[in-house]
Amino acid sequence: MGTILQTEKATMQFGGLIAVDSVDMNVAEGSVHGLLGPNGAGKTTLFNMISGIYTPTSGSIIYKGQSIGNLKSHEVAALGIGRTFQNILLFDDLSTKENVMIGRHLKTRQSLVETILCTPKAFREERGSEEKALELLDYVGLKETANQKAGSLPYGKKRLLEIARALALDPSMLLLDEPAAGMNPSESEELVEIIRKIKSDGITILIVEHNMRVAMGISDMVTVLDHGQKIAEGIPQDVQHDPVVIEAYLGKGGVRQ
Amino acid sequence: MRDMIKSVKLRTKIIIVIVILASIIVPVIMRDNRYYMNIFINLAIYVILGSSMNLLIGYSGQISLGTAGFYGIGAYTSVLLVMNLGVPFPIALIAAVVLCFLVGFILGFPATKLNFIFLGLSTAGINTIIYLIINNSQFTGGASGITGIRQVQWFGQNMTKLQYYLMTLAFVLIVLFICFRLVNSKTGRALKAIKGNQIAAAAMGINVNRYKLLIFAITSAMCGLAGVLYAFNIRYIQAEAFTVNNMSFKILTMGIIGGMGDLGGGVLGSVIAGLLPEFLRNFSRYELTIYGALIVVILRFMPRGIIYPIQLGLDKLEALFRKNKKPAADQGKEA
Ligand SMILES: Nc1ncnc2c1ncn2[C@@H]1O[C@H](COP(=O)(O)OP(=O)(O)OP(=O)(O)O)[C@@H](O)[C@H]1O
Ligand SMILES: [Mg+2]
Repeated sequence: MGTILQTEKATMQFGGLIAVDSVDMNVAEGSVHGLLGPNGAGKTTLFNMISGIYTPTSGSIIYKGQSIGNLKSHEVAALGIGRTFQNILLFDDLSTKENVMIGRHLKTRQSLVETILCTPKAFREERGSEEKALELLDYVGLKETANQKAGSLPYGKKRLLEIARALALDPSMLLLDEPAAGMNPSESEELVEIIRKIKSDGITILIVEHNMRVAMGISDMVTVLDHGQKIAEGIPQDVQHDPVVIEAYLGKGGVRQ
Repeated sequence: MRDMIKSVKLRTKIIIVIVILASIIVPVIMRDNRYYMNIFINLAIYVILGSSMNLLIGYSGQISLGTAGFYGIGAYTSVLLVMNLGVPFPIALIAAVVLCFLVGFILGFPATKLNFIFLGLSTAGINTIIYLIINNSQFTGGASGITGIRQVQWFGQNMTKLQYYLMTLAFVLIVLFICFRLVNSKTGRALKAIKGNQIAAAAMGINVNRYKLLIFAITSAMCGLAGVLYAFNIRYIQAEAFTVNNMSFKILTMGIIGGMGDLGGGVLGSVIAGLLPEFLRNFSRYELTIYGALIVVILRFMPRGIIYPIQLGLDKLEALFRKNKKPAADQGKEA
């Protein structure tokens, strides 16, 4: 298995605060890679750097051999990196189907003129997007909600809808930022199943998960951040028992700030 | 094309046909009354303006108080081409629309940098610059404007008011068709996504800045078209007609009160805001206040616009109709 995503000394500084500090990380193609760490460790910031929302203040991010640190968000998406948001950013006023169809944006090639003149191609594409959207809603178990507004869904289903929308990009890689947050146990079980399914479809997953037990269960590899720095990396079983990691989570000894 | 027609609800089709027929028949009956004909022509022009604003604010979540500037650019460009260079009206019209489309990118540029409030202010500023240029230039006739604009010809004859109205109506239908296609397509979804959340839109691969520029260019072109139609109807233009206070706020009102993000709402809002001054002749000094109050009241108490209660009423009516007609309800399937 090759490396699909690599960060080299990736750093993000906000004024005096170094939110992500010289992080080196390799994500193997086809794997589920967990990104762990306590609150404020810099996990979301690293996601934002990868997905083009932030430009790293130094260091580099390499995806499939290409440096993507300076790319804009929509350019990163075009390369096949889809993501979800910790704070759920759906298009609340639109139906769940439309939400997913928006994810098909780059998969349709019609020009504005073709759209306005309603050429057969424009309609074929439109129907194609719709079918794909319904298929993806079904994939995450939301088919019945196709005509409901995204804003009206319960919390757990919103998280699943975000995943369906990100999958609409036909991504090679998916960044999931705390997808289980706010889910009840049966929902998070369902989520774990979906993540396994996505993995078996060959999509690489980088997942932030607060809950150690959930994260350890699905990850092939984990990287642990604390105060912006990488403090541990390895297979879940090893990392789980790493005293440095335990200390970061429990603050045992109070040696670190 | 057939799929497109199929995608429209039966009820909406009926309403569209009735409204189009009425907007042809009523003016035909009243064709000799110049006063009413001018009102009809103005209302048609307002529908173009209001629909373009609806596209901008209702669907894309952007604001412009510079629309009157493009209304003015359209008017002056076409008039100057016809009067000074002898360009035929149809070509002058196309040239004016294309120019507004291109200049619209300039108006769109602040939208890629600024938030809603500052965008409103900066577009108002652009409008004022356009006004000052028109008002202080020699070739635009300065503050006194341009009078005696040549009438538009139709087969060698001056167009009658009815003919002019029908031409304007044809443009209205073209504009509404374009709006309809835009909002019910990939492009419209991209715009709605931008309105919903720009970070999420970008994460879906939408080039947010490009779409903002595009929608500003399109709406500017539509305002420019409206300006051409205005100038050659009234046949006298003056910079004062194209200021933020005299026109941009009015266009904003048209785009908001009917129902943002609803094409029918945009049309309704344009007609209502357009007719208002006719009913309030004695209060014309307070026009701006009235528009402002209208926007505040609508946004506060009817955020979905005036069209929403009407739609609810029609829903009820339709349900009743369906119930009574249950055995033979074949046609109702599509809804
Ligand atoms: N745009 C920003 N400007 C300034 N500081 C920021 C910004 N974004 C994040 N930070 C800071 O960077 C640090 C890391 O934040 P981040 O959101 O990446 O943590 P996290 O690991 O995702 O935490 P959580 O588990 O709570 O989501 C925090 O101290 C946060 O306040
Ligand atoms: Mg976070």
